[in-house]
Amino acid sequence: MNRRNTAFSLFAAGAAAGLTLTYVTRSARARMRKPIAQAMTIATTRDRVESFVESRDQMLVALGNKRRLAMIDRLELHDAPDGRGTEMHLAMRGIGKYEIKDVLRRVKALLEAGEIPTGRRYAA
Amino acid sequence: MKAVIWHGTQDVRVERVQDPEVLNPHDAILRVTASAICGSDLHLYNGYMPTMKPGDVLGHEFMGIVEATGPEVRKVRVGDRVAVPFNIACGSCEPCMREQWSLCDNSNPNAAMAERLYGYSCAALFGYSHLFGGYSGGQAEYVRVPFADVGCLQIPDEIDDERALFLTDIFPTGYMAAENCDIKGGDVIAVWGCGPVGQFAIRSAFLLGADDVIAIDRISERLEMARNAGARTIHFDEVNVLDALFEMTGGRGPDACIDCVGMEAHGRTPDAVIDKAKQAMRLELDRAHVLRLAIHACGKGGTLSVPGVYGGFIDKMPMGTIFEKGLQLRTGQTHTHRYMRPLLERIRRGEIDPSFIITHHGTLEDAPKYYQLMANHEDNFVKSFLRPSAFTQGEVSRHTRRGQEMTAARR
Repeated sequence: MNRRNTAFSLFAAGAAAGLTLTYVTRSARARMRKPIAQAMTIATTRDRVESFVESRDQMLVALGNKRRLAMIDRLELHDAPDGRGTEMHLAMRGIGKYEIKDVLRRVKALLEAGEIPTGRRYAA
Repeated sequence: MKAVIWHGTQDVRVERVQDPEVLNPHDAILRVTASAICGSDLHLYNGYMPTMKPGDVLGHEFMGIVEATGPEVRKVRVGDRVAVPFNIACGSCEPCMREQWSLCDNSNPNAAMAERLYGYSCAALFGYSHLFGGYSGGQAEYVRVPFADVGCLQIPDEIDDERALFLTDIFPTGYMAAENCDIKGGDVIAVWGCGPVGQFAIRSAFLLGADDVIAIDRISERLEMARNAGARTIHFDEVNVLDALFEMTGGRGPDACIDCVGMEAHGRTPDAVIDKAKQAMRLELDRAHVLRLAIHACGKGGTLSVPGVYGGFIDKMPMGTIFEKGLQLRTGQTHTHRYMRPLLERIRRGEIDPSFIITHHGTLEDAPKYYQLMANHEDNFVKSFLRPSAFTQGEVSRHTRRGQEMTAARR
């Protein structure tokens, strides 16, 4: 009786672990396939933002590495209401929403402030 | 260089670390001539602010002389004597252009971390955890100042360091707290906490036309300092604060209440005891006893102004009281850049001398001892004024003479 119970428990635990693993893998794959969209408003003209995104060198600085260029699914620019600047909508595959926001934040910092902020005290 | 380094809860040490460098085009390097310990530094000292790392340089109230500048710095020049606001602002994003400097979009390199906690990130701060950018602070011999043209305010020679230093935080913070009350003639303002920010809030309320200011604390010397500014006082260990305020305002309640205490409020009521227990177990970040009391005490249609620092979540928030009395809540990190120049003018005109707040003159090496005194409310400690030792030993200039005179007078 005891041996049957142990076997059943082991089978149930194994099945649960297998299902969980399948779910996590599938949802991770789906996340990789599905683009994630984020947006940020940059307090400058659309022309300036356009010339920034068209410059491969500048975009590489904002993206952080070359491989990410291929991950861009969609990049749209819209005028923000009441002259508040330019909305940049960026959808990317294979990276999370906070990483996409960091890309947008770097574009915004470079265009608005002219530099990417760092809290370091000295060069690494 | 020597700097005050955070190593853990109630463990700060003066150590030698690598000098700062110009890293970005808008940076300046400052040789610090004066710095101070802020009441909000105690939240770091006591371990209540998350994301501190051993080795972090503390201090967000400092001034000094520009030693080097980046290639894009236009207004600030090497040799300028400047005071620097505690928050870092780029000067070109939308919040900066609206003069909401403490909400700068671009200065916090760890914005993603702050965004997870607060929804959106606010400006970075000097020496105030990695949540706010991880920038090294000014309790050091040298400090790197990003966006130097935006932050650095040149100080005229006739204003000495003792009067200029507090433009970097506590004076604008107290002033903005009072300004947030929209003070009109006849208004009665209640101020909780007679520490440095409270003292400046009291004086600013009078400067802005308040008829009466009631200061609440339990430390006699601080209450005395408040009375010297013209405030009436309540010792909260001796009387029931709500009853006293009701009586002192003829039953109307204060027109505005200012909470200068923030996340480490003391009290003996059940809510304060529960807060303390929950905070010790890290089940709650802030002890909001004073905030609850201020909400309860505030007169109908009044304003709550909160310059005291809160870090995260509080419970038992009496939202019903705010709603039923139609109270207005105004708060936020100080937009220091907005106030520095006009307040410097007030100092120059002799309307206020901020050096009244200094109780302890010392060197950087005294910082660990001063943190301890401040945390334990010992030796009548209100505010420190720290000189890097190299400055005091090797350089006797017009900027130090007044400090020496004041120290000699106190002795």
